[in-house]
Amino acid sequence: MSDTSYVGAIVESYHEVLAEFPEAFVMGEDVRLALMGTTHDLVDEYGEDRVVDVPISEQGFHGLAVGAAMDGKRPIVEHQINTMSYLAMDQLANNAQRLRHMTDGQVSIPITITIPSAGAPGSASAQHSDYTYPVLMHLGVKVVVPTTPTDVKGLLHSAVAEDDPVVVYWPAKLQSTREEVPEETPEIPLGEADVKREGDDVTVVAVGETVRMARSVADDLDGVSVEVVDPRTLLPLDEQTIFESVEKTGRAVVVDGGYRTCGAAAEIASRISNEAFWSLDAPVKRVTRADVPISYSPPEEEYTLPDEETISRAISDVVP
Amino acid sequence: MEKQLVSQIGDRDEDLLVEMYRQMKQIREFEIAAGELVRAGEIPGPIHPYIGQEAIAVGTCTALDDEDIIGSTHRGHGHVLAKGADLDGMMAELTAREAGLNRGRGGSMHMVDFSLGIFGCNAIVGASVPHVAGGMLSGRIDGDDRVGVSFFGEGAINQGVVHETMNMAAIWDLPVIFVCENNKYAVSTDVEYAAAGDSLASRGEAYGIESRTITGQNVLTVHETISEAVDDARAGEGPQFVECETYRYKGHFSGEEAILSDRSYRSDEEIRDWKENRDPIETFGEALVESGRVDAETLREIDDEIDEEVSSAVDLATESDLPSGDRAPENAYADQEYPAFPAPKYR
Repeated sequence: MSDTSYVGAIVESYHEVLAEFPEAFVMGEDVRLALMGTTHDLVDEYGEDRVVDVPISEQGFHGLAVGAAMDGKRPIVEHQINTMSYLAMDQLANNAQRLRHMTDGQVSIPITITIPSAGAPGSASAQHSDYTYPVLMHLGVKVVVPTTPTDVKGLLHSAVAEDDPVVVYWPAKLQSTREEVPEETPEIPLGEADVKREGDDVTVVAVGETVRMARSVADDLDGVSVEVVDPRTLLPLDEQTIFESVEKTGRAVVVDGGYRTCGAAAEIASRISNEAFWSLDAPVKRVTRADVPISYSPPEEEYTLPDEETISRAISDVVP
Repeated sequence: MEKQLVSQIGDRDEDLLVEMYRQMKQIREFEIAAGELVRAGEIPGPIHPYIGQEAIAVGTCTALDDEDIIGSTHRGHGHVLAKGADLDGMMAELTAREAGLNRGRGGSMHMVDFSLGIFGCNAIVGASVPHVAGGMLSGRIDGDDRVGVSFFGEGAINQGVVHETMNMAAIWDLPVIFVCENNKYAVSTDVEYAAAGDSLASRGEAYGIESRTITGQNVLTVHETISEAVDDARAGEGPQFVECETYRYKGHFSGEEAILSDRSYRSDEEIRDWKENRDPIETFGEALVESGRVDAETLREIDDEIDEEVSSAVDLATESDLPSGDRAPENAYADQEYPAFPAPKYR
């Protein structure tokens, strides 16, 4: 075991996957300099052909990644800002995601896209504060959100090994967190949720940085035993672990830092209501960001985003 | 053009000359047969006929090696046929049959064959352009000497992704040949109206890319120009841009005539002028005979062979099985072992 930060785990993971997969290479804006702190020393070790700085042309370089994938490579495209995936949407939606089906399996597009995502990183304002995954989930793109350094190491490896496009989100608010990580990279397949805290009275399904909030709320609550389930992969979703937890507790709160309407929490809540309805003793509640753009103003940002107080209120609303 | 063609024919390899004629004729007949299948109600989706532009696909693909790659457009039948795609599979793809190139999944606008370096037709204007450059980026990592041809229409010249790709290809010296087929109209929008600046080739020049404009109706001119561009790109001199002036005889897509029957965006005289004076197949066939290198009888035999091969493809495309609908979830993902994935339509 070694004490590792979330960002440190990303750096180690990039080095490991480039070593393991000769067909993998990293491309992104300012990756050689490691602007986001995630690609340190990669270019020194793997050279400029495998660590490619790209011009600011999101649609274009995502298209190049698709073409390189068609040619047998495993491109890893690193975004510097969470909202940039919107600029690349044609290549993500119409191309990367659909080519396998459209060609009846003649081609694999094993691209990994990493996004330093944000409920909000702190007054980055509306155009830099977003979780873009509901859009991608809607389109059928595989989505992963690791919440601990150990999850980072296991899940990045699985994402790169996957023969489909996978988008991995690094929640900005978790990037300074630390934990003891096993020396050997753990195997964490996609589609496997993790019960981050066991409990009996209510299931809180939490995504990204809200996992940490939910755990903290659970630790502070007296007299209510809270189970925290971290899906880790939003598509495919490990429904079974979530349903089993809800069957045990009879109550569910779903928490996510993304927008409310058509969001990840909406999908999870809907599945619980549909498949675990007869186990429920109360309606499923959702805590999400409000459906407004994130403001530059700190008090407005705070007002808009999910917080521990709201999670606590949702729990008290479903637990008598 | 015919006189010029005769002198260009000179002492060129006869097999290549015959092959060029054969391929252009094959594309033409494929398109005519596809049009008939549309009218017969055998093709469920739209098709975008390439009739009139055959010299570009053939002049270009005959300048490539087998392992070189191409990316194509929604008007892609000619490109994939010229790169060697299976004619039966293409026709069956149009009729959405199991025997189709994509087993009926892609239709007219999405035919692919990666084993032949065909990175795909693409229904989003300009979207396949970066794919070819990505293939070349991959080739650079591997240190190979393939080149890639990206076909796109003059409508795509205004797409940002095409410019982003030209810039990246230029800064990295990627061996991409940008082949812009200027058939004048993006559906009904005239290039004179839609594209600012003096010429389309100047768009390539802006990125420091060697750029030229040629006639797209002379297969030998296309072949010569693309061959030079390929040699330069392969020698490490970076991307190349070739604008080919051409014309599509038919409407933008198979449904156009029904929609626009009472309002047209081009004159009959203009269409007639291109057909009668600049047809790439007629003029080349006549020049071959006039040059004395290939006799008329040989060309007739080729025509007959193509008629047979196309009519047999039509039979296969109309008589073979449609896939069953419940096959739809297959190949949505590489690994579909995850529970409830992909999600069904009812649960």
